[in-house]
Amino acid sequence: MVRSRRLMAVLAVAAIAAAACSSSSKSSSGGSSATTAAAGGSATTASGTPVHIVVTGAVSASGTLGINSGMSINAVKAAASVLNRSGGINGHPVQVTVVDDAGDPTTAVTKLQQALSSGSKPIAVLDSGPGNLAAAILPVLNQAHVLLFNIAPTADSSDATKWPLSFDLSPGLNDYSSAFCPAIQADGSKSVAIFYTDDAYGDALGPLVKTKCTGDGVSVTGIDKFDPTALDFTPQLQKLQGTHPDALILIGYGAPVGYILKNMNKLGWTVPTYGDVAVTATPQVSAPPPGGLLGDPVEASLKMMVFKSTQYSANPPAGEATMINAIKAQGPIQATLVLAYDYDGVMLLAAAAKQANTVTDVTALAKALESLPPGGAQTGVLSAYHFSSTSHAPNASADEFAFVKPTKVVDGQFGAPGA
Amino acid sequence: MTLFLSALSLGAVYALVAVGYNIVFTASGAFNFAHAQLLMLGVFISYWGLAVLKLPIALVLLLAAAIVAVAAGVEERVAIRPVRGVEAQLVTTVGAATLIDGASQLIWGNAARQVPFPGSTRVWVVLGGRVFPVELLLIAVAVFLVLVLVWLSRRSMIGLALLAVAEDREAALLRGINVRAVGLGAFVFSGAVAGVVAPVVGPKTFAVATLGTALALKAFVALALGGFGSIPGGLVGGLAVGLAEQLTARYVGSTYVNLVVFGMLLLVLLVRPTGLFGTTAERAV
Repeated sequence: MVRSRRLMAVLAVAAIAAAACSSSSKSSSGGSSATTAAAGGSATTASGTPVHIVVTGAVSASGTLGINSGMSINAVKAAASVLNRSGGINGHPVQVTVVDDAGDPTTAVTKLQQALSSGSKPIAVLDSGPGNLAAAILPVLNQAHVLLFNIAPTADSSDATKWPLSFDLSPGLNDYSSAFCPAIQADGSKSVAIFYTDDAYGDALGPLVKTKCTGDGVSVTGIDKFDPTALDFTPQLQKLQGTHPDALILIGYGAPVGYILKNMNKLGWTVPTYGDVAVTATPQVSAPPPGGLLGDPVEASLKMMVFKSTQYSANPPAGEATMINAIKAQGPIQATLVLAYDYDGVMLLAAAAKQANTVTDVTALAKALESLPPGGAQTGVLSAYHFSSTSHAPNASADEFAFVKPTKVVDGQFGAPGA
Repeated sequence: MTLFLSALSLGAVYALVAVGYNIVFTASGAFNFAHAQLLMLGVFISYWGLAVLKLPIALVLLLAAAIVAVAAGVEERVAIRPVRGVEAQLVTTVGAATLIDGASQLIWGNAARQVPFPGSTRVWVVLGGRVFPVELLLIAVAVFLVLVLVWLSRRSMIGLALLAVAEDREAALLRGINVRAVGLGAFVFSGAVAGVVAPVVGPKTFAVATLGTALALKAFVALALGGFGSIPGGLVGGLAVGLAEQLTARYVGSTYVNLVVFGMLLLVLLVRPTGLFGTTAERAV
């Protein structure tokens, strides 16, 4: 529940983007639920038996869900294309099948079972969320002995003992909570107040951030929560303002974020404000006027948490640059690069196959994933995944995160020139 | 003072919905659960007129009033008139609310949108408290609306007809009052009022598809506190809910806000079941 809330918030970033997802990702033949292609086309230099992977997504959905799924599917196609251009995985071309799960767990299970019982059983499945869909397909894939790269962690999807073949690609609350206070200290603040949404996600993350900040030597002067259905937060902010912190950590999503920024402006409270990934995912924050708050004075003190890969850099790491170019080759980037986790999933699979020297032994591939050296895969969203024999969560380090001022999203990144 | 003004402006929003509930309730005996959604519709139209089309405020007021009035009229014809019994009408008006929520999400999406305020957006310092001008205007609009409605109900023929229908529907029919037309008129009028006040509500609440749901419950509490059928009661109830909410959040804790608001409602209903300003009518049995 906690993670699905966070995922929903992150997925909502896509609402910033305007148009529907590219038609290429929605193609299907004769109403079939799945399309298959050896990504890379004529550029493929690999030969031999294809490595078959499946990506599931709400291909037929419109709006945010369709955009998000289109991003995941394009990310997988992009990764396959990159690999196929350099010889595939251990010399085998990567073949991608797109399964339209309609964002519905029942549909996903039915169509995956069809794909699994077909002549070409996939070695790995990559999903596009949401969390309840991942929870539904986990047992199916585990029983079928197929790897799952999951962008929508559930309560136990990273439990390596329960799901030895499932690997979460999205960081967890522990990772997010560790990222705040090192950045706040780097900006020169020594004390913070924490204001978080009163739901499962906020109730888990808010107190965790307090613990981490205290551990980092940052004084927490006050902590309070807010009802996400309320319309005015002046009282709670006034109370926190009275504790005189150097900075404020804000954890929340949607309209309340706008109310809070306006209420702070009314109170004349201008301390640096650090928003979590849900704040980043709030469409109003990064949308320009007239509807959005981008450029409004109420955002003057706001910074929000992003992955370093979703922050524009003139000289990005090689893996990130390759990923962006490859995804752009599949079509316009409609959502932030956060939703390109599945690109990393394919690259992790390739690195594990190289290390284990197999493309068929799923157990050996899972073991290899648990022992990949940091940076062993040419990933783009996160620079390193730290799976272990007990935890299949990415355990991302604080270095993976950055705090940026709100801007428009260009090619999936904040802070691009002209944004 | 900042907190007090903030609480009053929030209470004024609740009061505007509660007054809308009361207009319909007085005229037709129906409780229109969708009134908060009608106000939300007005806020979206305000956003569309002011922010997207950049129309003059006077035109936006007219448009919002007309469109929401038509929507309310359609609701009366579809969700009230064919349905017998107050209990069934509760269900159909909740259905209408759900329909408006869904339509708003489809048309405008889930993201909150800023509604521009045509006046000053700078913070004012009033009696030592910091407040946005639109918040002061909200309080003024709520008070003014209640004064006008009270005057109309006591001094105009339509107001007297409304009171007659509320008092005794059959007797009003016998006196030649078109009860059905009064019912439809009340819906249309409450819709027009929601449309007219929406450009003032929007800059505080944003245009967001969850606004109706957020307002409906608290406004119902305001209505029950003030008394069903009492226009001034709706205002007092709304302001009381706003004050209770904000003072609790400041001095007790955010967790206890709803507990205090609904505890207050229970207390009032236990001590005075008709609400603070509600009245009971004796009936021979």
